Amino acid sequence: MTPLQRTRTRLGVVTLTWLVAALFAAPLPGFGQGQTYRAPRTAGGRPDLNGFWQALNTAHWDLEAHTAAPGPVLALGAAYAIPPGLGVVRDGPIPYRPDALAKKKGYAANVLKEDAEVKCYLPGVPRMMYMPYPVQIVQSTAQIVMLSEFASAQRTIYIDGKEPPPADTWMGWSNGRWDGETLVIDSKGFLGGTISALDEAGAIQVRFLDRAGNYHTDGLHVVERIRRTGPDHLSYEATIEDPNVYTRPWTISMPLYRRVEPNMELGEFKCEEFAGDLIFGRYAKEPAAK
Amino acid sequence: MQLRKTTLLVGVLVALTVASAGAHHSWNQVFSEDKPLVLRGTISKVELVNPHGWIWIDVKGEDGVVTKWGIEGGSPNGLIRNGITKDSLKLGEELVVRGYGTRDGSNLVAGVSYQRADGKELWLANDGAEAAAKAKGNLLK
Amino acid sequence: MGIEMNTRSFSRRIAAGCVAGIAALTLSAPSAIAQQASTTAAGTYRAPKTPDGRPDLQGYWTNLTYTPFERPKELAGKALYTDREAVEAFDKAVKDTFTTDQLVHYVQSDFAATPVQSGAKPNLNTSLVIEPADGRIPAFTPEAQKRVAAQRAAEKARGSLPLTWRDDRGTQWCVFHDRAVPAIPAPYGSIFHIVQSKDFIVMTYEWNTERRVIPLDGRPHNPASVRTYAGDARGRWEGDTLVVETTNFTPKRDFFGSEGTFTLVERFTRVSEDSISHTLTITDPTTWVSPWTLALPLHRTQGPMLEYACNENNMDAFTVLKNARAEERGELAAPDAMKRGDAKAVIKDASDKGAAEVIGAVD
Repeated sequence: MTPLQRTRTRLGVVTLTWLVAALFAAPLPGFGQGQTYRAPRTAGGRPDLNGFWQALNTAHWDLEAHTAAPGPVLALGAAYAIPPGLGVVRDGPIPYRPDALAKKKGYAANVLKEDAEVKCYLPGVPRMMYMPYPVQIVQSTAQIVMLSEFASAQRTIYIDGKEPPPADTWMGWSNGRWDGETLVIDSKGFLGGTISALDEAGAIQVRFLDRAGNYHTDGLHVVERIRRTGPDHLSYEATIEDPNVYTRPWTISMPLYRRVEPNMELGEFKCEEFAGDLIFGRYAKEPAAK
Repeated sequence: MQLRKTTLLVGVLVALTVASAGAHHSWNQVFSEDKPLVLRGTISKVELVNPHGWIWIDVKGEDGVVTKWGIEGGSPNGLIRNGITKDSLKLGEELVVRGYGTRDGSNLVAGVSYQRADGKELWLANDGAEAAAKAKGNLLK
Repeated sequence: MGIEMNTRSFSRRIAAGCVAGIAALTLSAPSAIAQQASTTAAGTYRAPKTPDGRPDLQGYWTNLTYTPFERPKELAGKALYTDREAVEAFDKAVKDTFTTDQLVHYVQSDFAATPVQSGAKPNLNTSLVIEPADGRIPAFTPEAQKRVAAQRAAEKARGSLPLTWRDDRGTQWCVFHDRAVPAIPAPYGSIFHIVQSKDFIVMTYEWNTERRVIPLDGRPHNPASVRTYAGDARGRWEGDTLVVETTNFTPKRDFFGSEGTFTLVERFTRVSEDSISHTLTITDPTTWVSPWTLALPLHRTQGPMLEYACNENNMDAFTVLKNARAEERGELAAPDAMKRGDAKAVIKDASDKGAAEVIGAVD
C-alpha cells in the first residue's frame, strides 16, 4: 500500500467507525447528556428524582418565543416587564383552533382579571413545574409527591396507578409509571375556570398555562416525561392535549435545575393572604386601598 | 393590616368534639334554617370540589320558565368513601332536593336530602344509619 | 414495601353486620395510647419498613375522634376507661353525633364522618389532653391572662359582623388551616396523607391541602426571624419512633392564647396495622404555667385524598361580607342560632307538613 492509500484507508476506517457509532448512539433530545445517564437509585430501586428542582427560563411568562414587552402594570416599570425568551414549544406554534385563538387573544389582553396566578389559585399542570419557584419531589415506591412553593400546590403521582379520576381537580389526577430511566406521568381529570357559585370578582373562565394567556379547559390531558440527565439536571417534557382549544397535541421541553444549596427547603408562600383584599375587597367595610 | 389571628381560645375548644358545630364557615351567615325548601329539577352540572361539592339543577317553574339552582353538598373525599364518584351522577337526571335557602334569596340551597326519580336517597350514606342503629335504637330513618 | 394504595377501593365500605358491629371495633392499642409520651410501643407489633429501613408511616390516616378535648368535670380523676367503658362512651357519642346532636342543616354521614366511613375508633383516654394529670389545659400565666382578656375586649368592641375577609374563619383557613399543626381533630375530613422518602416525610392534611414537610437529615432550625404558619419542623428517628420538633411559629397564629410563641414536640409510633400513636407536647412558658400534652391517635382510613382548593371555591367570603353590609343597612335580619336534631328527619317533617317552599313543577 502506498502512503496515500494508507491514509485514505485510515480515513475510511475512521469515517466508518464514526458512522457506526452515530447509528447506535442514542439520539439527543436537544440538551443535556442524553439518555446515557444512569441515575443513582433510591433504596426502592428506581431512578432517584428526590430533591428540589426549578426551571430557569421564561416559560412561565410565555411558552412561545417572544420579544421583551412592557408588563401589565405601568408603575412597576422595568422591574416587572416581560423578558424575552426563545420559547419551550418543540413543535410550535401552539396549534390553536381558530375560535380558541380568538379567545386566547382576549385572555392575553385581560391577564390581571383572568389569570389564576394573580388570585393565588392553583397553578395546574404542567404550569406548576415551570413557575419561578422551586418544586420539591418526595419519592416513595407507590406514590411520588411533587410540591410547589407557590400556593402550597401539590400533586400525587400514583405509580402504576390505573384508576380514573374519581372527581376533577385543578391539579388533575396523575397516574405514573417507570419506563427505564424515565418517569412517565399521564394526567387527566382537570377542572377549568372556577365554580359556578363564585362571585364575579373571583371567577375566571379558563386556566392559563403561562402569563401570556395560553390556556386550557377541563378537556386537558397531559403526558409528561421526566428523567435525570446528570447529577443536578432533569429533562422535563410535557405533551398537552385539549380538543376544546387545540387541533392536535403539542409538546414543551426544558431542563430543570437542582437547587444545590445546603439545607434547601420550600419556603412558606401562602399567597392566599396577598390575594384576599383583591378578591374579597368589594364587600369589605372599608374597601381596601389600591 | 395584619391578618387577624386565628383564634382558638379555650372557651371555643371545650366544645370542639365531633358533636360540636361542624361548619367550617359561618353557615347561618349564608343560609337560613327558617327557609326549608323542596326543589325538583334535572341535573345540569356537577362540581365535586372541596370542601363542598355543588350540584346545579334546572328547575322548571309552573310558568314553564327554567331557573338554575345550586345545591351545596358534601365533600368529594367523603363521597368517595360512600362510593360516589363524578360518574355516579348523570346530567339530565331528575332530583328532588330538600334543604335550606339563603338569607339573601339567591338561588342556592344547602342540600340535606336528595332523592332520585325512583325515590332512593342519593348519597349512599348507610354507614351512619347502621352505626347509630347498632349503638342503641334506630334513630335514623 | 410500598404503601397500601386505597385508591382501588372506591366502593363504599359495606357495613355488614359483623364488620360494623361497634362492639367489634378494634380499640386503639391500649397500652400505647395509655402511656404518656412513650418513646417505644409496648407490645410485640413490629411496623413494616420502607426500603430505607425505617418504620412505614405512609398512607391515609384520620385523627377524627369522639373523645372530648378536655376531661369533663364528671370524669375528674378518671384518666382511663376500661375497655367496655370506652366502647360505651364511643357508642353514645356516635349516636348523639349522628342524631340528636347533629346540626339540622348538616348530615354528618354525608361528610364521611361516621366511624365506619372514617376509621375512627374508641379511645381508652377520657380526654385528648393527657398531661397535666387532670386532663385539662394548664392555667394561663398572669401575662397571658391580661393579653387574652384584652383580646376578648377588643373583639367585643369590634362587634360580631365581619369587616373584611380576615374576619371570616373559613376564609382565614384558606390562608392556613391551623388543624394541620398542631393537629387538633376536625369533625370530618380530619385526614393526613403521609409519604416518606429517605430524607423527608410529607404530611398533608385534607383541609386546605395543608402540608408539613419534615426534614429527617439533621439540619438545624431556621433563624428565629423566619417564622411561618406551619412552623419549622425537624424530624429524627429514635428507634421506631419519629420525633418531630417544631418551632418558629408566626405570631399571626393564636393557638389557645399563645401567639406563635409555643414549641411543639411530637412522637409518632406505628402500633398496629391500622394505628399510629401520636402525642403532642406544647410548651410556652409565657402563656401556660406548664407544658401540656395531647394524645391524638391516627387510624387508617380510605384514600385517595382529593385536593382542597379553598381559595377558588370560597363563595362564602363574598356572601358573608355582602350580607354583613346588608345587615348594617337594616336590609337583612340578624341570623338565628343554629338548631340541632336529626337533619334528614327535620327537613322531611318540614316538607311533609307543607312548611317548606316548593320550587319546581311537582307531579
